[in-house]
Amino acid sequence: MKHAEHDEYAEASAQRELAEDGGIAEQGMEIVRRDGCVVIRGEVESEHRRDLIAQRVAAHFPHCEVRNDIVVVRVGRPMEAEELA
Amino acid sequence: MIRIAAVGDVHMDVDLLGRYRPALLELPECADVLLLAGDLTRHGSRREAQCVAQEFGGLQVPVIAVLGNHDHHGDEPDQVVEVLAASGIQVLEGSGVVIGTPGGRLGVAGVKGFGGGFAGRCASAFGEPEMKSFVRTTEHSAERLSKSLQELECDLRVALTHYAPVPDTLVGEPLEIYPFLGSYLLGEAIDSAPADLAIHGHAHAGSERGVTPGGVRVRNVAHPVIKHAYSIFNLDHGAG
Repeated sequence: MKHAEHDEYAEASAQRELAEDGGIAEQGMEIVRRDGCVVIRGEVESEHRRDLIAQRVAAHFPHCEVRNDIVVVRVGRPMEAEELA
Repeated sequence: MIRIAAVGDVHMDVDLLGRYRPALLELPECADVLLLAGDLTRHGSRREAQCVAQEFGGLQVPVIAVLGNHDHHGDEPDQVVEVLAASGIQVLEGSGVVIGTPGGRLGVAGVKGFGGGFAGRCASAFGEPEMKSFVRTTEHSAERLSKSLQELECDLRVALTHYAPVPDTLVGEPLEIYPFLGSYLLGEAIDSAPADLAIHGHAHAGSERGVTPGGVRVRNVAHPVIKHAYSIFNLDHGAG
């Protein structure tokens, strides 16, 4: 039974979809409900994945503004090593 | 000194091909080995494993990996291992390997590990069969890690896991999910050898540095934590 009209259930449902949907498989996203809007935070590997997550989460909150604050993680070479003596 | 590069949670698929490669091609200048701390794929499919092989295979340094929970999602971890092995990536699970480097013999023992939590707030093998199975999976994994570490004949010894062996490197994650992120049993196994360094991934929102109760340094190399293609650790004799 779905009670998606309650934000708390919508958030849980969205989180499970992000983890369990074959095309997404993201477990580390944070969905924050704030003053009538929803902010999504987290870090992903590509812009495509970032936009797809925001699109899926927005579908769970049809009456809210959804702000996408997901970051694509950098992949440069580190500037220095950690010395473990 | 032995130079160790490490990263976890790269979650490869076709959309990421070529993303890590420029930094990886520079590895021989700064590292003797690359360790991959699990969650190499998104769902553990053969196609994604082929992407890992293409991106992380054929490097001029040895590549040693463990699988993560994502790599098991497709219920065909053996196929993932097979694809990686064909590209020269060695996957450890309750096993170890010793490689020669200019700085000495590096031993790496690895398991995926599993959850259960940490001292004072951990699960017990009690009650329903599902609960007992959950805890015993971690116990078994930790026993295999301990044995593999102790069997290594080398100058420096590294434990490689996906799940975290200490809570220190989980700081930043919600407290409520710590039992799904690691187990003190892995830390106890690491201290039993002891290892000179422990590397893990899995905790995307965690923190980089920790230490086991026995004093072994622990590093969380999940890609969202380190925010580079890999971290580099220059491990000297006498470290740990």
